[in-house]
Amino acid sequence: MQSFPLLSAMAFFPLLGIPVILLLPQSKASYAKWLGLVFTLPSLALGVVLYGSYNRELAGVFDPASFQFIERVPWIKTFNIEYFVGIDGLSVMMVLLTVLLCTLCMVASFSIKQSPKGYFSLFLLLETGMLGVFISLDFVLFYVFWEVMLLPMYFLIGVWGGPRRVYAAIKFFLYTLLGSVLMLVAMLAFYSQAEPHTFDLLRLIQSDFSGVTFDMFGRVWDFSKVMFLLLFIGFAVKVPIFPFHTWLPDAHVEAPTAISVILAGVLLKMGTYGLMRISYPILPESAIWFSGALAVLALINIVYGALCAMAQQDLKKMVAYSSISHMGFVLLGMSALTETGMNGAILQMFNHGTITAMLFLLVGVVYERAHHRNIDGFGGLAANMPVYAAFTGFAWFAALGLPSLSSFISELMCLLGAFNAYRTITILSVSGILLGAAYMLWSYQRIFLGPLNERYRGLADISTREVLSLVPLAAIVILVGIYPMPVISLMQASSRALVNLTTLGV
Amino acid sequence: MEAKESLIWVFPEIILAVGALIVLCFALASDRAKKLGFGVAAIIPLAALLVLVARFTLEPVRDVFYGSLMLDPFSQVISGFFLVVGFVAVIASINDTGIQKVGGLEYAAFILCILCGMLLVSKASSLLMIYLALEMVSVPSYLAVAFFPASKESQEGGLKYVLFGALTSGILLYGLSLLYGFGGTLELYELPRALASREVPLVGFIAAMALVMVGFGFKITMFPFHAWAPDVYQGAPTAFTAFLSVGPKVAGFAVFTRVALSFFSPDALPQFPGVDHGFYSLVALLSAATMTYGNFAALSQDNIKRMLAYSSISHAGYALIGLAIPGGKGIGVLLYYLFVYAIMNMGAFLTVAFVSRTRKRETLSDFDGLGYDMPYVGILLTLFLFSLTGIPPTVGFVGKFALFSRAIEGGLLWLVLIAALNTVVSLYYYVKVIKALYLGGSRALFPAESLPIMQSCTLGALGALTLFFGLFWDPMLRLGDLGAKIVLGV
Repeated sequence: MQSFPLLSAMAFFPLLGIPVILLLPQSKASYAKWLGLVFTLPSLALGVVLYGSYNRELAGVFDPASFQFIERVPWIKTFNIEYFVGIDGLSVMMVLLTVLLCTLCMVASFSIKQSPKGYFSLFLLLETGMLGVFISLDFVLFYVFWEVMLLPMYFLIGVWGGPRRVYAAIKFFLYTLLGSVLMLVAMLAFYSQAEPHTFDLLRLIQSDFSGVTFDMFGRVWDFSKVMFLLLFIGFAVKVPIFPFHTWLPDAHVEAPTAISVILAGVLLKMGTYGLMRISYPILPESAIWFSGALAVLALINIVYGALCAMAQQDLKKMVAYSSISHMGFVLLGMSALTETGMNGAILQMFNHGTITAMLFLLVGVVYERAHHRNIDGFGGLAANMPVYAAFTGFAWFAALGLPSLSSFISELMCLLGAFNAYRTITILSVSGILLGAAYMLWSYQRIFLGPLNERYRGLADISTREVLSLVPLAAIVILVGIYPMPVISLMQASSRALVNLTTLGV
Repeated sequence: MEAKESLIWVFPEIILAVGALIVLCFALASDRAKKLGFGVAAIIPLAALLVLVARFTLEPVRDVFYGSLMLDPFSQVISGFFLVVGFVAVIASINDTGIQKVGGLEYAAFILCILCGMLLVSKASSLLMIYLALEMVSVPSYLAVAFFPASKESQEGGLKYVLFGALTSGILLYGLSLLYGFGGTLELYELPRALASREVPLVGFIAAMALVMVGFGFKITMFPFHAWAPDVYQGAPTAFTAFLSVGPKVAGFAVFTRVALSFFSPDALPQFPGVDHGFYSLVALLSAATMTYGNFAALSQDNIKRMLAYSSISHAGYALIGLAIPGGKGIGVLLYYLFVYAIMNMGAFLTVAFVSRTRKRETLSDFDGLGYDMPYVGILLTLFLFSLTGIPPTVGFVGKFALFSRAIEGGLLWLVLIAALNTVVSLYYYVKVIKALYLGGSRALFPAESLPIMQSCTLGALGALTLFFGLFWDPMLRLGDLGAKIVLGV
């Protein structure tokens, strides 16, 4: 037990900023951005402390003793719900990614002019919600944070988004709520099935749900499979897994730049994180039973996402579809249930978070200047904006999995991990990398190479503030690409424990 | 129990009845005295509540007025709840210029009369008392709905309410008289035994219960007896709609629960094996139908009052889940859900009441940009609507959580799945309002008006409760479980 509640402090510090921002007089509303940054930085600092003091030997996953930074306070006695937080190798990367991206996105949001007080308050609320999801070890707490996140997201897309923002926001909200109510049903079913009744995730892992059946609509159903399916839909909407992906292109495209970054960088990971944290350990037999289907869905995500990306005219939409494709690798790595695959999946979650953040930030840069994102509408920008072209080239290469950059490692690990389990699927999945290279390079060529489009001769190159929000991400991409061990060692023990728990039951 | 001894147990009702008369007297007095009258009207429910709490007893008191009434934790908790709701309703009417123009004190007196009836409903333990108490709720309600003589909608709503109400009262009375005829006693708790000893045919019993259920179904806006609700809710003064959608509806739930449990608890009617199972299945089906109908009908509404009327039908459907859990195991969460529903629904209606008063209408487009013009109202309405959807950390989430959890334990997973999907449907129309508040194109079409002080306190308190009980669930859940101690049989 830590004396200082590090995780709570990290999660709730941004919340303190909201009243401060709201109390700003209207004439000083432009200071909201600075306050937003000020209230995000402590969480980042705590993230650095966390990285330094995290014990890489401890596995967590199912064993309460080896979770770190645990805080446990009874919350709702009637339902035996606790405020129970802690992290292990599955969540530590996600927590770090969240605080990092939130800080960078605060910087990237400085150009927001419309009602900045509302924007930055909601952003801070969103950060609390996201961190809460990753640190919760009580299912209800997890669910509450999961839902709390929806509200700011709805407004951030709906008020500050692009032309079709209202449609995109409601679509996002409806899809995600559909997923989460199914998760709620599964959660309550676990509660009533477990003896003693509990929402403690670690105790739910220890309860055995195999062989339990129940009657519904005049049929006998297998409890564990039905619950896995309900949870799966809940998480699949978030990832998003085909065919629950249709909200994503709309939401990502209409959201303001920083929010697209958060959506793609953090929110999508919650789906796969949920599968790892909840579905796999609690329902291992079903996880094995569904793993073949999951691999097929992963393949569809990879190939379908890449093909859709290639067909896009809108640059942001292309990046959005590339997320679907890249998240497919995470699923593929998970579905294999091998240590390599699981490590690859977690690492890919982190890497996709950093790389896609760069992609969206870069799209935002050109959109702010040219006010459109039509890939064919540019041409030869490299002549005019050399620094921007260089950054974009770097990010594009990172996204397509160039060796020595981070996503190469994680995608390779996912494929390697899955190869023995699903040879055909894995081989077919490799085509996703090829397609990725194709749409990335093709779009790069159309935007930056060739003769300069005269309309954009006056376009200013990327500003220092924008560079500042990109450099940390680029540094991480290179570091992890060259020497990934410091990052892999964070999660190795946990992913081994998760795989063993799921496949062997220990 | 003799009449004289019984009096002590109906002291809150006496306060309300006498209070209503006093308030009516103030209506005849000068303007200055009228202000005092409002103070009196607001204090009366609180005084009754004080008496109720002071005399709270866990031990059931049967046989009040020769078996007409009975006090158990169920009736007392519900009575207390009614008094709080009544207090809010009176307070909310004070700043309501529409109601004040016609006659605010008469309106307050109506509320007190209805309250008195509702308290009696929660305690009624004889068939005759059930009927009389329900009528005591209904008659002043008819008047209050038609309170605006100049408004066509109000008149139409009032007339519809009277016609539907009279018809279903008749049906209810017919059902009750059949039960009396079969059993030979008016006392609710004697009836099951009396039915058993008299070889009543199953068909007759089912017919009687079906007629009774029609009467109760009307009160709680259960599908397919909900048709009156949208017109009446839309036509009535909005502040009264807030009360009507909570008070009389919950009174209907209270009496429905008491009657249902006395006949359909295990072993209540050993001569009809399986009839209790059939009843709970039927309620489960009606619950699913009610919530689904309410939500889908609300989708296409443009008038927010009407939309909230359909939404309150759907919430009746959710609440019915509590009654559908076999063996009365869901009574605690049913009560809890009704409390929750009261907080957020009154909040939503009272907010809409204020907006429609300043903007004269209440269609969606009248709410455009309201969140920017009147931030306080906008945030509160958003909060209430999210709570109605059931999104944490609001109390509406806790209500659904508790209901669903108990229902799954009771083996109603299918119903919970339907309810969960309904939640998603309901989000669509609730968010339509929020969209108008914040995402709407045009702004500042109307001058911003500040809330009158009373109203802003009431709404602020409801909003604070919505959040507070959404974060700290225990106190109200315990209250619900306390109220679940209902006396079954003798």
